[in-house]
Amino acid sequence: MESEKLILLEGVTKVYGSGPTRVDALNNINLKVSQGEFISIIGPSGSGKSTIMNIIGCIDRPTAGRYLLEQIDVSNFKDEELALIRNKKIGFVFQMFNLLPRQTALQNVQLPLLYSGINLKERKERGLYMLSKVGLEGRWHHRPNELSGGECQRVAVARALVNKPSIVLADEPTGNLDSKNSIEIINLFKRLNEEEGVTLIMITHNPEIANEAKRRVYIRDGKIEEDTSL
Amino acid sequence: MKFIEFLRVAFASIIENSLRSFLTMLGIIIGVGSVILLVSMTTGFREYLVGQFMGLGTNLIIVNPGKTETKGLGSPGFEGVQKMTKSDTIAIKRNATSVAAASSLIVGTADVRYLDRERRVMIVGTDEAFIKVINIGVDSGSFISADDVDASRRVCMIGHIVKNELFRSKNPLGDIIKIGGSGFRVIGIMERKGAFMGTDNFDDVVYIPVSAAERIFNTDRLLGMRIKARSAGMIEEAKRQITSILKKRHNNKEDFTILTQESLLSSLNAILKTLSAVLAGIAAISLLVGGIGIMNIMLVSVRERTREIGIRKAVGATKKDILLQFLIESMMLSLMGGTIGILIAFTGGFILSRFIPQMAPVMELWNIALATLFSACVGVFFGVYPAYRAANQEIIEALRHE
Ligand SMILES: Nc1ncnc2c1ncn2[C@@H]1O[C@H](COP(=O)(O)OP(=O)(O)O)[C@@H](O)[C@H]1O
Ligand SMILES: [Mg+2]
Repeated sequence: MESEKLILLEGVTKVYGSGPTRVDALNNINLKVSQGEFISIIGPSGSGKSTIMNIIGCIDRPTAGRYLLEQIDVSNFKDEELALIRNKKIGFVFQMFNLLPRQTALQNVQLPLLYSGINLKERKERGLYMLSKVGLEGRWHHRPNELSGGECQRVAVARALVNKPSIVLADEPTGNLDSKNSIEIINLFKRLNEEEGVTLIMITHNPEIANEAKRRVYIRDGKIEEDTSL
Repeated sequence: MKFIEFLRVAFASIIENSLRSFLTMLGIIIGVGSVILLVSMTTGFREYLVGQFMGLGTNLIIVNPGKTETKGLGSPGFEGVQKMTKSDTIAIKRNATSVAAASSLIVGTADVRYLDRERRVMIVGTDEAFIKVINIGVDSGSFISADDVDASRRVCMIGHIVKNELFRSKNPLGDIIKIGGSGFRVIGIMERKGAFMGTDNFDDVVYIPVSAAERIFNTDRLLGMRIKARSAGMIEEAKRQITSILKKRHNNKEDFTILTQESLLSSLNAILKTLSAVLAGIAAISLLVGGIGIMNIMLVSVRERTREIGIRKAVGATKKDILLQFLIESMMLSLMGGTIGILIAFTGGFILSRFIPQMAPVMELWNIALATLFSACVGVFFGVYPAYRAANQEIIEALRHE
């Protein structure tokens, strides 16, 4: 089945630096992700969680190994091709929200559509629609500094989803949120996954949150130690 | 699509740091403003001079005794020069077929007196051909005739200022004025000519027959001749004929200088061209300085917005998108500077033209277009390196940047 192979990591290795400063961030990672999955990646700090996500999100390249996204090997793609993949197939949610501070919520949500060359009218429609999905339709004209942390993260989720990506990657999305807002974000993820079929990979070091996903991957020292269906 | 958004982002960024942006633009503002003002002043001054020269008369040829080595406006030297007399003029009148009219000129100053009123004015001794050669008319009465010259009659034509100063509102025709002690009958008033090169020369003049001037100034040496060619196409031929006639009469020596309006204007143009080149050099330097200022501020801007660049790239911006965004910003900075510079030049030019009409700046479209284009190019040129730095930012590092 095609959906079997949304993401395939084969022997992915990542080495930073060389000589005495050499760090083996990832060591022979094999991972298969199917359409519609909701995976949490958990592990101690410095275990390589962000590195794996950066490689899947095409903002970093593996030192060795293969990365197939929708059966296409993107390990050796050029910068321009990777930009296109990030734009069309990947949605990012970061711990620090990473919204543009001077732009409104709506403008932030529209950003990926801008680089797809979509016209202003459609950008606006789709942006507003996504904001309504995360329950912020009334706040579209607010700037990040006028929104709470939880609201900012919901704007970031809307931005990650607006271009209908194949997969949403979230790196500690609740790391900067209190427990109430954390629960809200997790519930939003679950709803998006169950109702809209969005494929999600979420990094966290909070075991409780990790257990909200359907599958849990445990990483240590750059290796997958455990891969459990929940 | 993206382009409009990039324009918006660039504009917003410039406005947000408006003081910093303005200071950055200052170099461009001064560069563009001063070059446009200076170049348009040169143009205005040139047009003024051309107008004055051409207003003298058409197909004018000026023959002065003495040979200048250069074609410039310098005064001729008199070493070993045989004097030029009115018989030379007569010879040219008779023999130069391309010449329509030729007039002699003896010029001096003298006290002119009517009753108790006295004025020191320029006396021009000339002949009937003068008003055919020089573009000046007669207001009332009639100009000196050939008979007046032949008979050396003591008659005179007076300019407007002389008339007003000596006669006030009285009609001077037929009255006698004293020029250097001799009585001259006023036979007419010259048309008002206005200023020439910023002076009142043409209206503060008394014209008398050249033969009478010879006696008053006790010389038959001409200041020169003013000659009119039959047509523009015959100017060169007329110059050749004048040269050969005069050389024959002057022991085969070319001890005179022939100037035409064209030759005067070409020397003028050469001077102004040099001036323009100097101005362009100054402008280039100030634009260079302005450009470095833009580069500096764009580098700061790129640094400040490292995270923004990371975010944009993470959601799909290509290197080209980022490059374009920052190039547009630097170009907008320098274009805005250029536009403000042009506006300042316009305002400055307008104010200046009130005070010095001769230097009234003439703004030419190509000049403004060129300055605009140039400032845009400065923006692009000095924006490339900062934009390149922005475009090649590593995403992960950019996102980690505080
Ligand atoms: N750019 C880098 N240069 C050198 N070492 C790095 C770099 N990025 C990450 N590392 C190292 O790689 C390891 C894995 O990092 P990361 O994936 O960020 O861990 P996690 O997200 O699980 O905390 C860590 O030891 C980290 O210090
Ligand atoms: Mg991490």
